[in-house]
Amino acid sequence: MTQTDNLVADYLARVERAAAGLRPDRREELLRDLREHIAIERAESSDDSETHLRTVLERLGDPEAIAAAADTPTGSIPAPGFAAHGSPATGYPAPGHAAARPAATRKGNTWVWVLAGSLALLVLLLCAVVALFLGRGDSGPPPPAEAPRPVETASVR
Amino acid sequence: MDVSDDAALTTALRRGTIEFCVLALLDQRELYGVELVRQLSAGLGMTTSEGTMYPLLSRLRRAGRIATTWREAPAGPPRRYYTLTPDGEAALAHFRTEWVSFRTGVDRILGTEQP
Repeated sequence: MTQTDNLVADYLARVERAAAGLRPDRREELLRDLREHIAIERAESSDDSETHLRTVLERLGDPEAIAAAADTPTGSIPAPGFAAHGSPATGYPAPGHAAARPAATRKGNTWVWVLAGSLALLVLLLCAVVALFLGRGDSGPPPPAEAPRPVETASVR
Repeated sequence: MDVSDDAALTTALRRGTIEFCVLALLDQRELYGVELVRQLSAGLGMTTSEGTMYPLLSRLRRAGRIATTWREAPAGPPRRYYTLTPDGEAALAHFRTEWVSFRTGVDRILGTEQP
C-alpha cells in the first residue's frame, strides 16, 4: 500500500466508524459513493500527489458531518411535505422511507380530529336550532317589555 | 453574528432548497457524481462538505426523483450518471412555482424586492 492509498483507506475507515449507526446497506452505499468519487477525482487529475489527494478529501469534508447527513433526512424528500399540497402527480408513497411513515400517520390523525371537530360543531348547531324552536313553541317570544320602562325612568328621577 | 451562527444559517437555508438544485442541474443534462457535486458545491458555497451530498443523492434516488445509469469514460473508471425521472421533473416544476411565491413573500416582508 502506498502512502496515498493509506490516506484513502484511513478516510473511508473514519466515515465507516462515524456511520456505524446507519443501516448496513446505506452505510455500504455511502462508502461506495465516496470511494467512486475519490477514484474519479484522482483519475481526472494529472496531479497524482499526496497534496492533491488531501485536497480531494478536504473538499469531501468531515466524516462525522457526512455520516450525520446520511442519518438526517433533509428537505422535502419524505413525501408528506409534498403531498400536503394535494398534487396527486407528485404525492409519493415514498418507497421504504422510514421517516415518511410517522409523519403520514400524524397527518392522518389531524384529519380525524378535524372531522370530529366539524361533526361536534354541527351537532351543537343543530341542538341550538332545536332549542330555539322548542322555546318558541312553549312560551312564545318574550312580550315587548314596556311596563318596566316607567319604573326605570322613575328610579332615575 | 459569529462564524458558526453564519454557518448554521446557511445550512438552514440550504436544507429545503438543495435537493431542487440537484433536480434543476439534472434537468439541463445528466451528470456523474463528481460533476454534480462540483457544480453544487461551487454554486452553493459548499466546497468543504461535498461528501454530504452523496446521502442526499441516495435519498433522491430512493424517492424515485432521480435514477442512475453507468457509462464508460474515455479515461479512468466508468461513471455513474444521475438522470432526472418524470417524478423528479414534476417535483421540480412544482417547487419552481412554490419557490417564486415563497421568495416573493419573504422579499416583501424583508424589503429586499428587486427594483
